[in-house]
Amino acid sequence: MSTYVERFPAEAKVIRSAFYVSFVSLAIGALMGLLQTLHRTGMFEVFSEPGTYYTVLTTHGVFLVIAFTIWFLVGVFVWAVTTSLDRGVESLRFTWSWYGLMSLGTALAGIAILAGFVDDWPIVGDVSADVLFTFYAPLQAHPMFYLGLAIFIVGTWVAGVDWFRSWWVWKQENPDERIPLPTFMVLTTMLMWYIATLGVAVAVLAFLLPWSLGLLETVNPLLTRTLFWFFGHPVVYFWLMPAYMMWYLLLPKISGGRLFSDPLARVVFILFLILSVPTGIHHQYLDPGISEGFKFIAMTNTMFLLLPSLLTAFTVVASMEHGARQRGGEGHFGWLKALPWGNPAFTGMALAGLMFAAGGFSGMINAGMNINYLVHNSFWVPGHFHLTVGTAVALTFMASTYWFLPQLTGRKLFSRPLALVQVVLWFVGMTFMSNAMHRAGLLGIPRRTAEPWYDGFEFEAGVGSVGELNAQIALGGTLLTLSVAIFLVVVIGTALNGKSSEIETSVIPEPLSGPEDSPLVLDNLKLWTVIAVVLVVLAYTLPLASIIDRGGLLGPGGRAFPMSLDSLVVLAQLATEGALPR
Amino acid sequence: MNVHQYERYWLIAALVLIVAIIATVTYGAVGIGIAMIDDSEETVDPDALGEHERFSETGTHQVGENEYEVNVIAWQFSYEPGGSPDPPIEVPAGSEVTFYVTSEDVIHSFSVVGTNVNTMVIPGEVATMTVEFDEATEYGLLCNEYCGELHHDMEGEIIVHPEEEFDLFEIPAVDAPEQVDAGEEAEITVTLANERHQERSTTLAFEFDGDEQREDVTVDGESTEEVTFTVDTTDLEDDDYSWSVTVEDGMERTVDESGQLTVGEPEED
Amino acid sequence: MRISRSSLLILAAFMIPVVVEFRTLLLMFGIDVSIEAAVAASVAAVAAVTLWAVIPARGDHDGAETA
Ligand code: HEM
Ligand SMILES: [Cu+2]
Ligand SMILES: [Cu+2]
Repeated sequence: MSTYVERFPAEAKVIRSAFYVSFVSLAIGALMGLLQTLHRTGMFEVFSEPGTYYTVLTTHGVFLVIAFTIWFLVGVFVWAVTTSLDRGVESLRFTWSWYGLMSLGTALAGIAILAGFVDDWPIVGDVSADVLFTFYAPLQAHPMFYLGLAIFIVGTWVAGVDWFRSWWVWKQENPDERIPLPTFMVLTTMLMWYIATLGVAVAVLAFLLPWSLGLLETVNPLLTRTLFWFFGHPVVYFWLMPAYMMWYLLLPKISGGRLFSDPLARVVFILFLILSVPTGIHHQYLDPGISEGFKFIAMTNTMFLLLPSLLTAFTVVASMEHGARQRGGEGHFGWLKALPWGNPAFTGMALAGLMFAAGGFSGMINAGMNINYLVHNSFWVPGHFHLTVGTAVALTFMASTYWFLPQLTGRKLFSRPLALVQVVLWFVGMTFMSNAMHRAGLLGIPRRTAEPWYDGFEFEAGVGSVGELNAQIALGGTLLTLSVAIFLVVVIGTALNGKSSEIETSVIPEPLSGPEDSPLVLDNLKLWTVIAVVLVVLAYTLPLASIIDRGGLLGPGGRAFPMSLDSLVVLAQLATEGALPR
Repeated sequence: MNVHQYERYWLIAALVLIVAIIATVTYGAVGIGIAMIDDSEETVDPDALGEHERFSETGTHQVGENEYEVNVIAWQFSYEPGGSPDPPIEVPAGSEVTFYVTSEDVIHSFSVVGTNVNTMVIPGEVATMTVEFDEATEYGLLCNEYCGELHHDMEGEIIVHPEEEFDLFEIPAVDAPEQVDAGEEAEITVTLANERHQERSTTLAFEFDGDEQREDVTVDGESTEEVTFTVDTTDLEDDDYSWSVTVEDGMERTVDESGQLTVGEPEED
Repeated sequence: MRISRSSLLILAAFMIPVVVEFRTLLLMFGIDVSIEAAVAASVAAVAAVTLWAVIPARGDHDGAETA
């Protein structure tokens, strides 16, 4: 019994089903990405009515960073818990119930967004949610959007319960054993997630949903925005921690070696648990209504959050080197040649890690409180996060899919060369797109803008020209979309492939330095949770109290701005009065 | 716990790096004094900006020798002042300008292209930032926070005038009769206020029924002058005539007043 | 083959960021290379590396795959 599907056929089905939702979301998101790059660079006028751009951008954001990533990682977590505890889920029914909740949530939010492509629906009228994935009030989406989001998040909470429950039962049977590393990673990530999602849950359930239903007249835009970022930064680590998990567990194995150090991996995940949340205000350096002191605290926490990533860089490289030397690699850099570059799972993850280093660098710039003024909301920012979530996470997920799929289906990967081309194409496309986005941002070109060309001024490029940057962005975006298409071909091809008996074992080799080397206290999840909560309380109580004290729970006034307002009215007024309506 | 030696070096290097970055940022904030957007202003009611002390008077105001305040309201999808249909924001070179920016609808940004003057504009909150404008030049202004369907059209302009050409005139009052009998003279008295703290000269152009009269005026800093234009109606038929008075100060912002004068018996409605 | 096909692919991929930004770097020193020239140079560079990889080294007979 070696492949995962042979050991856990029912769980493999759950994971496959989660992955397929994830990949459909990726396909939709990537298509939107292509339209965005072509339209906003002026390469091709995709939208005759530029307002459509924002429906597209909302789709891109939500389908990729909420649906694609989270659907994938819940699958990975089921795999991690079941393999490392060596037991199936406690109740399949329960497992499918969170799958159902998450599906319902995805469907509701997704429909609310996609409905925005049509101006008027029979019976229900205008439904839309062109609020982007940050849904800042007073921009208002259709209630179905908020409801879907809430149900989706509750689904992930229930999923967490499933994994804690497995661990709990396992612990009764194995009272003296250390938590296996993969399960440890899942549990710490979920603890972080429970704390992080409190912010968005309160924002949605207490304010935005009732407000969109007309039960509340006003909300406090700064409060809901702050609650969003309470969640919005740690969600980054919710994507990243599973990617790190792949780097810690799969990458060493595929390189032909073993993980360097189990204890250090635990330390890294604990650091993420305690430091991820009290940093969200770094997205609000430019927000009025939040004092400089609170911003400063968020800045320091953010910088310390570099530590687990830097430690990961070390461990990953060291484990790869170990693997390469096992395969006969020699010399200071010569061992690099001995790595299995022909294996798409390996190459994809290695390239993802490399690009993450670049993304980490531009991230340090963003985190610098004062230099942030130069780049905030410029095109630099999407340049940055397409390296982090858009590559470190997305490419790692795609690459690990090439390892997972045979495990989950018992079928051989459809085409290794094609898969290899796919990951390399992603790297090339992203180099073009992200690099040019960073540079365009430094010229002041804004993000989230359908047509960033203006009547009164032009952007001046010190070196090169705006046109060149646009060409690079469009080229990069096209290559990336092509890469996603190839990915889907490989996935579908594999699903249709015949069963094979030559699939390698799914067993992860023991780390070089095992859990017996790590102090027991590392496994004390209660302790770390308490510390995490205390840090959050310290970082957030005063800012939230101050925001509420200043503006009131429901804000100092102001109307809602439903995004389903008929666009034609606005445009007609523009045409007849020559000026924008007020 | 078994930590490899290289790993220990790496850990130390990582910590040093982190502390160094924090120190640099702190130095920027405390040492050089790069100010952040903060919570120094009270909240405002976005629905009642017209009654608000500051935001009922949008535009540039001089508050010190060479210190100015500019009050701006961002709205879907422009700036008042700054973007169409309002005039650009105008300030003098060599000045220290504090912007007070709020929104009357959704979240916007107020971002001066090619500089680090960049802030979020949140309804209910007032963003303030102080900027030194050294040279006469022009800057583009844009909104980089998605604010709705026409977000990409939201732009504006800041014009920095040479200090010696910068004026802040207002016409707080015009004393004009509504009606005169045919053949009589009508006197129209314009109060011209110089809101700069320095003495400034300008020209008032008065137009009545196609005829223009011009008058050069010098006004002390922070004070007013009255200028009277006389209209002779001897050759006019009984009718309604319109007049206007404009400050010709070379600013983009027009300062003018207009009204109507009835010559002869007013028509009954 | 001197290196495996996959290594060649990776090598070519790594050349791309270098080529893209080399032009920017030159521009910073005031040397203006046209886009056409830059594209031509990069194609030439990739072609050269490919040739180097494909033409067997002396004594290398059947192009053994390494990975
Ligand atoms: C086919 C590949 C992709 C292309 C061509 C692409 C292109 C773009 C572009 C041009 C933007 C900027 C739009 C604007 O600010 O006006 C953008 C935004 C964004 N992208 Fe992508 N992207 C791709 C893949 C991804 C992936 C894989 C992720 C994450 C998993 C991602 C996450 C995001 C997010 C979160 C935004 C910001 C949305 C917002 O501002 O609300 N993208 N993308
Ligand atoms: Cu963040
Ligand atoms: Cu805007």
